[in-house]
Amino acid sequence: MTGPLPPPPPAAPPVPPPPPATAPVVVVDRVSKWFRDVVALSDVSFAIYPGVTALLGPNGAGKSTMMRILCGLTRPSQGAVRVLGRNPKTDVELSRHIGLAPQQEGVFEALAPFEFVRLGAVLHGLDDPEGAAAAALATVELDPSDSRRTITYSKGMRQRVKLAQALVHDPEVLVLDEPLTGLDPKQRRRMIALVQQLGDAGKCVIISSHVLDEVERFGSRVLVLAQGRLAAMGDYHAIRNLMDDRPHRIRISTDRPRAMATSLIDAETVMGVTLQTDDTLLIETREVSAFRHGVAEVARRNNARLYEVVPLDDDLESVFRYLVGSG
Amino acid sequence: MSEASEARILDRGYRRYEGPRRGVPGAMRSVVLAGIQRALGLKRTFGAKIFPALAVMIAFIPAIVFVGLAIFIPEDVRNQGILPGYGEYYAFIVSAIILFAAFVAPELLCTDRRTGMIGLYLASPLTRDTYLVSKGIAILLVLSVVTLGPPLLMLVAFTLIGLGPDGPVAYLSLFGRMVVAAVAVSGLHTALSLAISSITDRKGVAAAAFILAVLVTNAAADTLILEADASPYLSLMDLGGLPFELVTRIYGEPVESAQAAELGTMPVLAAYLGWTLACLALVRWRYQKLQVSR
Amino acid sequence: MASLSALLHLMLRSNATRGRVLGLSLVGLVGALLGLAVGLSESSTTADGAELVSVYGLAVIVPVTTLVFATAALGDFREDETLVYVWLRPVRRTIIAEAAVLSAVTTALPITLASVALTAALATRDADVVLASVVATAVGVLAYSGLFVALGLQIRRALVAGLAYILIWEGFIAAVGGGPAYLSIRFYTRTLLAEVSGVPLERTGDSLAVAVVVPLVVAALGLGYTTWRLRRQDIE
Repeated sequence: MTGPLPPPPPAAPPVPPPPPATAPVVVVDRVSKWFRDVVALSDVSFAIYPGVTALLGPNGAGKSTMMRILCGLTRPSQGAVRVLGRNPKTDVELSRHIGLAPQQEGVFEALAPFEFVRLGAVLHGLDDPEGAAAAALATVELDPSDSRRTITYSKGMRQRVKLAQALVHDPEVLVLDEPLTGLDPKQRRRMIALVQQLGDAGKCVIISSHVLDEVERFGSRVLVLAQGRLAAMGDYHAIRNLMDDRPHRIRISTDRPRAMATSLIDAETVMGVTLQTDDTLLIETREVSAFRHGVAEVARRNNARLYEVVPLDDDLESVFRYLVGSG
Repeated sequence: MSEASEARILDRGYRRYEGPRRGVPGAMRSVVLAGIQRALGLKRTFGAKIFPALAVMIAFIPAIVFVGLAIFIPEDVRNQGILPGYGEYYAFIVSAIILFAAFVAPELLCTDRRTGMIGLYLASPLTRDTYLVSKGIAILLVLSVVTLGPPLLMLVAFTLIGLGPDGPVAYLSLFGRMVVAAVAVSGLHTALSLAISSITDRKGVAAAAFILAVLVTNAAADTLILEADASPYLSLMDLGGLPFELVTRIYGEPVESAQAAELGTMPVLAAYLGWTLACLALVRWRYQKLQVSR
Repeated sequence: MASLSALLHLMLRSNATRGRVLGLSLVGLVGALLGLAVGLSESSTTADGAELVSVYGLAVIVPVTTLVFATAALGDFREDETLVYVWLRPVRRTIIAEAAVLSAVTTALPITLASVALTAALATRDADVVLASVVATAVGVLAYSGLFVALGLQIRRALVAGLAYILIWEGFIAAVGGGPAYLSIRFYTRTLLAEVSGVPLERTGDSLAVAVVVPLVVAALGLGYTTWRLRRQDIE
């Protein structure tokens, strides 16, 4: 008797945004950036559309430099960047449409969070800066009436104040550099939900992180930077499927492992089979979909019961490790 | 062999340090060495080296010029007193010493507090007192480069061209005075800059406050004594001039101004020690009540 | 206008800390005490009083007080990496530069004016010298503000560099006179003191107009350079 096949990968993330039909919000065209003899970014090109896009990469990969270029805080040594069709370095008015929560912890020491966020609202020329500041602080679940200075806040709270000042003018483009740093698990969940909500509302949210399991939960498109070069972009499941030079590993638990192994090794889709324990097989295949369709038939023929079929490296971390060259 | 028996932990990630522990003296030595390196810009960027290099250069250039003069000018001209005494030399480099002193202590104290490094230091065998002593020693040694270096260079050069002290006793006596004078100049400046650096976390503000303290007390004492006929004892509040007044007496050189000549050496020494101890007490008090978090 | 006002408010809150204002006021008070001592001395003349205003007020209090506030106006934000919160807003760079210079002038001027004018009044009891001190101080604060705001944005150790300028360049090299004196703001403020008060001082220029115009040009150039740097400079 054949047991039911388990559903494919657990913890299904939200559906990534569909392939964009609109114009890109951000266009990066052959951008390089170097600091004397250190190359931070090398010939990077991509486009970003509304929704959440995660910028991934190990430390020193060039994520923060790229984010600073997108906001116009530094200019590329070579290449061009357009945000909403304009140059972020020279177009002061463009900052009306950009909100940045930078990575650094510094905040205005003399100001309370409400004053800090209201300052942003005033500089953006909003009609009701007090109302906008209060709303932004409420969005990140901070009390607008708290008169303590921001410098006395914990790292996580300061992180939320930084997000509030980035949100206060309701920008179309939000650039969040490592926004999950310093947040406790509960705050992280809320921050992720907020980012998803902003993305769903049509904002272009660009978020950098190396906390991979959390980026996975954003359900975002990813841009993977490694050593200053763009290693991959798109939905990470799709990226994984493009890695044809590297087999997918799938673990199978069954009551007749040897019979299953013998049958599977003959299948065209299977590159290798390893008997791991008394009831577990490790399969290597380049065609996951075909394998999934075929495995049930093989089990039926062998009168084997399948307990589980689990893809082992379909997660973002595996993709990431592979792309940045440490996997 | 079963799977369990093959199990091994290959890398535990954290391993307890099993090597020799050098304790408090070792930790202090590390802080002193790190402090000297930081102040002089060693193993740092080119920009960090510019200021210390300039200060050292300004301090040594007059000494090199005087040695050159001693070599090239005729003896009869030389005997007319165109070369300064070792104590008088400080008048030529006072601005370099003050600028250097203004820069060093803030660099070593303010940076640690602003970046939170002090938390790491105090997680070592160091206490607040041993930390401060180590920093003080580092500053004293760095300042000695400009307070002891140039006179020593002159002594060596003058000795080589036959203008040095007569005999080993005179030589040792002069060398001893030189060291004491250098410590005198460095000591009060170190204590004052430490005290000011303990008040503010901003290096620039501490440096400016130090220079202001030196300039203002100097200008105030001079004006009150010279313009308002005030008591010469007011010069004991001159934080800029007091160490150099003491140096004059250490070398036994003639006191130039009539007002200063009225002062005995003991009041000068007492004022010097009083200011130094007051500054050190302020630093200790500030650090005892400092909240350190990691 | 709202942006300028908000930025000015921010800079004043951030930079005019109690410690700085008290410390520098204390330094100013020392000047007034010196003025009192000189004024009470039977042997001192109006020229001695004017010289005190020049060597203590215009040479120390005015440049150093302005240096502290002006370099902090944008320099502290740069050091704390908070400049980005001002820069990434739809505010013209000129407005940011103007707010910085204004904040330096707003904080430095009351302290220096009170100190220098009081020093002049107590040391000379001469209305012309007091008026000249006020004019020289105001012009000096404006010029130093423009110069040192730019310096604070340009380099990390702006206070130390500014002190080196005040002590070494203005205090030693330019004080000797000749060509370097024309590149020293102190030369013009001293000239203003002498020209407006009518008290002859050594090492001054002979044109009141030049003594007013050059510092104002320095302030304008500093403002322009700060604006240019804000447009060009990388923001941390």
